[in-house]
Amino acid sequence: MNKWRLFRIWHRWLGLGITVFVLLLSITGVMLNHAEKLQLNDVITDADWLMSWYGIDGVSDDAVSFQIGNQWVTSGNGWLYLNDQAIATTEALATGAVQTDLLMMVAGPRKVYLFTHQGEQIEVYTAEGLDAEITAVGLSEGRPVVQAGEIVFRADDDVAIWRPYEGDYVWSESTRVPEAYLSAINEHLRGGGLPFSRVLLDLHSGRFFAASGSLVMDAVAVVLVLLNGLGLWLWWARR
Amino acid sequence: MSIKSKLQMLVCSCLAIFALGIECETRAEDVFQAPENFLTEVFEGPVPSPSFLWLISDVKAVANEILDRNLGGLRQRYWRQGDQTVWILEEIGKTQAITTGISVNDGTIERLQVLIYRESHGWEVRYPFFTDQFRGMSLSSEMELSEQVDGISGATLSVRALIKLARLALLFDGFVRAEGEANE
Repeated sequence: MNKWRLFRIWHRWLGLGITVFVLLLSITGVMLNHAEKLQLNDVITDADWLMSWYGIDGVSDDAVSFQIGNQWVTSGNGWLYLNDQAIATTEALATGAVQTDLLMMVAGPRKVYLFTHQGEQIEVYTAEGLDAEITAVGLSEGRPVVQAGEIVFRADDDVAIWRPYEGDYVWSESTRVPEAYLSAINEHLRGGGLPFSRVLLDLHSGRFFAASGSLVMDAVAVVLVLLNGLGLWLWWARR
Repeated sequence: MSIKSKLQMLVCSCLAIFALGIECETRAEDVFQAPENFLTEVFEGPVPSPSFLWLISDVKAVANEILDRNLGGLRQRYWRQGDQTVWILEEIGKTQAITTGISVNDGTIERLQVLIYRESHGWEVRYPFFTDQFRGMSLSSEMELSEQVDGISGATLSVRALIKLARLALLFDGFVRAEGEANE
């Protein structure tokens, strides 16, 4: 095969290979150029699939709620909510929640979160002296108890020190997130959605598809430059 | 290899790069010393029961100024033996909290140690060449450290976080001592 035919074949297949990318670049580029006129910054998208694609998820499936008095504590997506209000961030899902006359206590596997009954944070601490992760939270005679490994521990009056306990207790039970608070919590987690211009920009740069998508768009740009040079050269040679 | 095959390889390579969009920045926490071990070490034996500094508005106002953010919580736990108070405090470096143990004796820092580090960069602040600088430092009337702390290039935010925590521990210690004097 002579070299001119070879170059023409490369030119044709490279051109065909980047067609989709060139279309994507062109359409999104034109739209971005006129983003202000098209008011693309004001168009907010909050479609479930798109938010999930961006990693902006609503309440996760493993979120749990605990009823304490006439209020609900919900734990999920790294947040704690009292009813529909975010009150703290957490390292892990809560294992239980209870309230005493003075305060409200939520525990994760390693941390204890203390709040006023109105949800104001009193203290967050790692419970010392517990040999294992906390797996359950309950109440015994008005004081919080936790299960850590095989041992049940009860807190002192300040809910500061935990000592092994062998009396009676009642564990708090988890339920699904109450429907009444679901939409408010979802809104908190997802924020107000994404401006359409942001999605277009990510499509244009290639970042929409993956963190390294911009490298592919760079490669497409390089191929375009190559095609340009190759095309000019073939045209010049034919003359 | 035919041209068609080469082209297929090219397209496949492009798709593979897309698929490789894996975030490699995640890093587990590094526990350099468990907080309970730090307490045992600084008290050289049994650890006293924790005490609480209630974060009334006066304390919070200065603490917020030092941290340049709102300090959450209504009480701060500490451990005390004579003139020595020990604080386990956390502050965010860039995105993650740095857990630090600070022992204060009679208003000056006796020991500062990074206990748990969660950031991907700046972990050099854990080394004694950096933390030893805090020894003997106290808090000036302007709520600044009494001496200059030499930074570490590439760990600016972690250095800043530790300086804030050192100032905070000294501030809290000052309030605890003032409270003690008022009660005497």
